[in-house]
Amino acid sequence: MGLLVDRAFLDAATSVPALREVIRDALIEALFTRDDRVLPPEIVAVLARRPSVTMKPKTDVELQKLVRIANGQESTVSLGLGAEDWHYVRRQLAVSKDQDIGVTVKPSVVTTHPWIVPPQGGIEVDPVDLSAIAVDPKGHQALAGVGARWKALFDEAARVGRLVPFFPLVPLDYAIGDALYGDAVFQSYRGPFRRHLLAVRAIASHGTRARIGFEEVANHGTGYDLLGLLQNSMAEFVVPAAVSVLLAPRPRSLRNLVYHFPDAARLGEAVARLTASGRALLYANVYDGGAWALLHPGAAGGAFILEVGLGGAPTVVPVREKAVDALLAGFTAKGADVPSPYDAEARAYARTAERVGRLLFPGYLTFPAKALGDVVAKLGTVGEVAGAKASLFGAVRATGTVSLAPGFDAPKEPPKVYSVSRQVWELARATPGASYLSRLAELWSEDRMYRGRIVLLERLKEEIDSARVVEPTVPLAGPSGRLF
Amino acid sequence: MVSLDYSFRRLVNILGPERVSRSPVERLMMSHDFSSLPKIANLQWKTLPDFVAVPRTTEEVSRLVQFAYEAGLPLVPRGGGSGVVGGSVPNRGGILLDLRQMDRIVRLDADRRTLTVQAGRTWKEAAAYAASKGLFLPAAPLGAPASTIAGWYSTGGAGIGSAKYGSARDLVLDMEVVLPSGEVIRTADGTADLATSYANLNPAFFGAEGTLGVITEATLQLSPKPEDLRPLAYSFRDLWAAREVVPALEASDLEPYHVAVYDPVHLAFLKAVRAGSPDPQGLVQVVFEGPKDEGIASEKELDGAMAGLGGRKLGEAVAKAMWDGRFDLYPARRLAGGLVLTESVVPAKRFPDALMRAGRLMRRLKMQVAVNSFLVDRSTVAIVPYFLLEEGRMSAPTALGFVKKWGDAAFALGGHPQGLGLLTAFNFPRMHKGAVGMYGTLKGVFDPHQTVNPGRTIEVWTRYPVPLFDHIPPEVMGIGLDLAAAVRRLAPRLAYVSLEGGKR
Repeated sequence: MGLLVDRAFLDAATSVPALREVIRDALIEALFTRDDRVLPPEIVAVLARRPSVTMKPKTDVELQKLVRIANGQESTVSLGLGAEDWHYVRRQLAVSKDQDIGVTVKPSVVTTHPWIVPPQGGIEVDPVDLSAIAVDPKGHQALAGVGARWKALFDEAARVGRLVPFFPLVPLDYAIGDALYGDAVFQSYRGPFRRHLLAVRAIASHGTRARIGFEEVANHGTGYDLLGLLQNSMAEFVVPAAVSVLLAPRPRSLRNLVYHFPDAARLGEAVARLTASGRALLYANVYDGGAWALLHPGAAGGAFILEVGLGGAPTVVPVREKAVDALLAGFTAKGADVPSPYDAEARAYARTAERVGRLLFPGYLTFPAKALGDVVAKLGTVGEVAGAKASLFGAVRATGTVSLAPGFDAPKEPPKVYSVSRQVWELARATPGASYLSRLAELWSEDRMYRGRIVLLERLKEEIDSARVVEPTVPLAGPSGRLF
Repeated sequence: MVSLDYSFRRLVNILGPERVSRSPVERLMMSHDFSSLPKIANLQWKTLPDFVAVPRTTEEVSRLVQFAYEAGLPLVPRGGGSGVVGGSVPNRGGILLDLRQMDRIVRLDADRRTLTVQAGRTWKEAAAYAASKGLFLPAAPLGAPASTIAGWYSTGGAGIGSAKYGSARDLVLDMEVVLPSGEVIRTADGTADLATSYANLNPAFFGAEGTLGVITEATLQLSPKPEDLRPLAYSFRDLWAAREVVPALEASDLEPYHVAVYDPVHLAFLKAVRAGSPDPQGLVQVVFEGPKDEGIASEKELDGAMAGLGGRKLGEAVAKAMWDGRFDLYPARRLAGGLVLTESVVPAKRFPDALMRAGRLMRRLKMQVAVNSFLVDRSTVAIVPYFLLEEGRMSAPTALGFVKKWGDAAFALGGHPQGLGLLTAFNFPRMHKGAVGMYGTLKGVFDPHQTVNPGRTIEVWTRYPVPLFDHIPPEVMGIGLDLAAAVRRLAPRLAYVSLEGGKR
């Protein structure tokens, strides 16, 4: 369900007598791959649980009711269901009454893999119908339900002359909320998603409404940046309903330029030059031939492709394009009439996402652009060991880093996911300045400082969710008192 | 609580006699920040710290924090004192931690373009160091010469360059923080990009005014040094005539590095103390930064847009002078001996409404207020009105009514006042509404014993540690300031300069 739930469960599991002697990594592997031979029955039982009911609220009022039902403040009668559905929901929730009735939120698309601990009964919220989008016609801000697709927001914004200035790193058909409780990474060339996130409307565990952040303006100097603090684990603290994001005016001139490179090393050097130039780009995506073929079936492509989005005043963009051409010296071919991948028709975008979504993504690697050649070579080795070809989807940041999501053409079986993820993690650790964002890596990390941060977040969760309603932890043992 | 003499001896044991002070002069200097506070405020708060401690290492800070807890003394971290809301001003005495001697450059990673510095280094010094290595620290506070790395981050501010590069939040990758328990923690993974990472505690300290711990070191993201920096200036008849500039730039596809709108009153203030300053007028400064060819093209685009809005382009010399003086905006305080700044952010599209409300407020309260503004991002403009204040004058406290009323105006426009200080903390519940409990919880989790900069989040402490009088409810504080505003309406007009130039 979430990082804090998983880490607490791992800590608790080590106190089970049968697992006390098991090395942490081996335990994680056994839990992740569901190796029931080495797991005691009480652990297997936890891993086998499922949500009691899945509900699809249409409004935040309905969402609030669900939280209040889980909290014991309202009965299921107030849901206004038909007799048959009501009996089903009531019976299902009653079955799980021996535990807390928690509320969990179901991500629309998971890029990598689910967390280890599944929802322990209770109510699973599928936010697919919380998909209303309201773009401010006078300003540059939009309010979108957490279930609204990023692509729908992009199209709606374009319709009223706005641009969604953040893009999915892997071109999947994400909902906006997936960045809060899934593992979607949105970013722009200039900054991470947080820079474009203004506020989240949520339901707190006691059933009250809470707005974290400010819907029309940035949050500056108003106490803590709670929004940023909770961003990646939002659904472990509150139940998000809608998101307010910052938009940009749609530039009068937009260009999608495609550069083909013969190898990753030359692409890496070109990207390093580009990021050192201070040129303003909307996005700069990196693909290998395999990924490109998935995005543009039948289209010719080089071994490596850099896709650059330019936007701005009509007099500025040609100047910028000329400069970018010069900076990217070493490319073998350039395509200037390739349509932007984000402007594709919604159904075509979804079809592409469906193709890409079949790949096995272990996580996201971020490293200095100069190391691109080295990282790509090492990823090739990982693919050989795994017996699967890697397709590379990446994005460049103005900071001079590249974030790469390698997608392996392999079945998404837990043992395979685990071994590939572990190898990519080793690769990241062997690359200077690299970091690896993956759910498994968060569990593997035993860094003392990281551990301290997690303990603080666990304490915060305990306090904010004192009602134990929002993705409650699985109680096998009590929390420790110290950070380290 | 232990005796102050005993506490002094313990502090001397930790830092040595030369870095702990009980001198009234030093304590007085640390009892206020850049904004003036009328003397009457001392009835409510004990702004004079009991001790001033000057640590140089993280370990010393940790020992000081632990001692503060043991002694039951509040500990207030302070950087350069350039804050404007009293965030680093003690409310119940205690130990004031002057962090300015923690100013070492720890390391520069040119490949990753990161700079790690101790918390007490100023933004201007850090920027100069980066520039000496061919790199660029792209955003800085308006008080950069005095404002320290941790100070600006803790005030949650935006400033020069934020329109393009974001605020301090977007520049800080990782920090070392001494928690109220005395434990030292790194807030994020030092190798991680800002993109996405789990268990990143940086945001907890952004805007926290040092209420969750003491920041001792930070790693900053640098940028490539720009080829060209192009300050431009445009003149408008008055401030009202420049009202459409901010919404127009918000809606344009230009990417300015910095946009500031200066009030004629501000320029009149400047002129009164510096003869060579521009004449009072509505003055808009737009700065482009980056490759030269794009700067030239952007300037042409902007010239057209500004002409369409009725702006007249000023010469390079004026633009450069305004840009060079960007960190020295408030020399006028010497006209009255004091000055009060209050900052709010409002949606950029509501900028004309904000100017209208500010004007109405000035007329009602019979005050001369300079309403400067700058663009924070696409949707947000920070409006920073300031007025001169003679601290000793009987009517001085009534002028603080403006701070409250201006905050009210920001709320009404969909924005919010900034700052978690003595005079603004009472806004906290109103700002965060349903989520306010979560903010209080955060403070409780990090600082359960209320050791570090206490009493300025969900509750406003007074100087009296006795039940019933130990805190002032936010509503009462609001009513008090409303009352001050009402009295201000009856008081004579406060004006220090005429818009034709010169002192009154």
